[in-house]
Amino acid sequence: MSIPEQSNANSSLPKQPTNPTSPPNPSPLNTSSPTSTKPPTLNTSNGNINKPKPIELTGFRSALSHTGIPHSVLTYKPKLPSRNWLIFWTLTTSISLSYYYDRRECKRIKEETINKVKDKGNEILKGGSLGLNRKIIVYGAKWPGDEDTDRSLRYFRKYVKPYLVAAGIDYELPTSPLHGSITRQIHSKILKERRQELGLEEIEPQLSLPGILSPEEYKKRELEGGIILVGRASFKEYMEGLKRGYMGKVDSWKWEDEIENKLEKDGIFDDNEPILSESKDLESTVTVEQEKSSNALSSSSSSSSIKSTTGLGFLSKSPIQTSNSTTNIIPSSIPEKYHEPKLPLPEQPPILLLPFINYIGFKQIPYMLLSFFTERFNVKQGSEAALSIINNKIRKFKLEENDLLNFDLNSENFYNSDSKDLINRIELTRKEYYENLKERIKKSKEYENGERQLNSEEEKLGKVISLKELKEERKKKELRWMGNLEGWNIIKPENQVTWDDRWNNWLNVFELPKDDE
Amino acid sequence: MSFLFGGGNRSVEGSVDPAKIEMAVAELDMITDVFNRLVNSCHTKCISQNPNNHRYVEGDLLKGESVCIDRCTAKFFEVNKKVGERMSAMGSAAQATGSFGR
Repeated sequence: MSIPEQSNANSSLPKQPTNPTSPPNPSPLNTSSPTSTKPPTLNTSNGNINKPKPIELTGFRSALSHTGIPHSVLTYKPKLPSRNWLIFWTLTTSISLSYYYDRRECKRIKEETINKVKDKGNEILKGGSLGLNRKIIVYGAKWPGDEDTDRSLRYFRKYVKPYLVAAGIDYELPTSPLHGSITRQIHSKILKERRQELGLEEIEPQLSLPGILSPEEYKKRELEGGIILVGRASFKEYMEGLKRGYMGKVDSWKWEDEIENKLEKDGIFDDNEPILSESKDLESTVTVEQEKSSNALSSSSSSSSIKSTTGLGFLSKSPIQTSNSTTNIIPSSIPEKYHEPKLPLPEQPPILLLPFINYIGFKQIPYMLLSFFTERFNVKQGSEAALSIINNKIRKFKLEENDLLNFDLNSENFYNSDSKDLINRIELTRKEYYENLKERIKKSKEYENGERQLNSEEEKLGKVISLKELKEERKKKELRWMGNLEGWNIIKPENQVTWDDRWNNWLNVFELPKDDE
Repeated sequence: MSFLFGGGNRSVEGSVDPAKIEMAVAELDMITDVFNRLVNSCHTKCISQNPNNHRYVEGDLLKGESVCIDRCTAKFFEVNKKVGERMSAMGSAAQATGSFGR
């Protein structure tokens, strides 16, 4: 006795996983009822499809079944998607969620810190429009192996600068294009100060404009400010610069001039075979040929090139030739005691050490990916660093008390193998360059001596590359190479941070919060 | 620029004078224009983003604003210089090629 019912279960019966396979029997629709246990078979076009029995509705659902809500809606059972979809959704959601979580955390940390320091930026400037803010200098050395010299400064700009801007602190970012640039800059700055103090160099006359500071005010402003060193390489270069500046001699020194003097003394531009190798057999031939040099451009160097070893000057480390320089101070006139470092050493602005690693190279791609998803640690570090500067928490640098000389030691493990190869690469480039240079010098000399006419390319350009230009070009290249080599010697992992025992208790450091633990 | 005025007026009264004065006036106009632009753009950037909002947080200059203005003016002049150099290079190139092709 089947109650003819409007069965809604025609085409929307959910498939039961435990559907018993029953032989399809075509039978009219009306004989199906929700309570029958026989698997009803419906008249479909194929006639062969199994339909599972309609699911029994219990409880409130059976009441609702009369309301017109579809049966499938009432019997809905949530179930997991298939294995493949599961894999897909897991991967996608986890990756995007980790990205979003990370960026949200970064934003939160940034906002929090900015809110902490906003009030400092909204203080009134003392002195009105001619007042001065605190100014900090940021040194970021070039990372070995990376041709982009700006990476460390970009790290600073991204992670520390926003808080300084919010706090109203000014910053200056001197560029350091080569390895060792920071050392040379600091060296010349300190040297200038020392020489001016000792009276060996005159102080520039001061303009009497309202905004210009007197030297004392300038120094005071520097001390109130601070220095940020991004990365271990900058730290090493800075310390080396301090050593050369304060512990070295006070002879007048300008790096470009030093290199230029070195270059003039090796006979590349003379009327002879340029010397590329350090073989000692060539020395005698060099001496003979240099003496018959008649080229006007090499007149300045010919007098000093009589010495055979200076022909190899560009390869060996020759001492600074101050005798043929055109500067006014002769080294012998400076009394010995001036060269002594003046103890106690003058106050230096406090230093903040900001750890920094630059991932480059194929093997470091996993680290790059990791750092893409964990930027919040960098933001946290940067914000702590900025807070320590803004709140001016200073501490003396005592060797016994803290481990600062090992600052960021593990970043050196990330130096590329290419970077360690720097010396060889430079030598190779140099050799190639000098081989080509020989030809070009010859051509240029021939033209200048009137021995030949312009060839077709030169006529198009309208001029020949003169010897002077070749010299300039060579000087520029040598500056880069020598600068990089010197800098690499300072920052390579084998060398420790420069330290002098007399420096204990001299420098000031900004204290990062986690150092308190 | 005061030397232009001082030199012009006291010396020869002649047809050269108006030309010099004209030049001086033009130069003054240019400088005033640059100054006004600078003030406007740095004020908009650093002090209040909305020019119709005539409210200052404080009457005196704030630290953050001062740093911002320093950097804004430095950048402005640097941009000015660079654009000027580029224009003069373009101008001389145009002259050399007979000002052909714009």
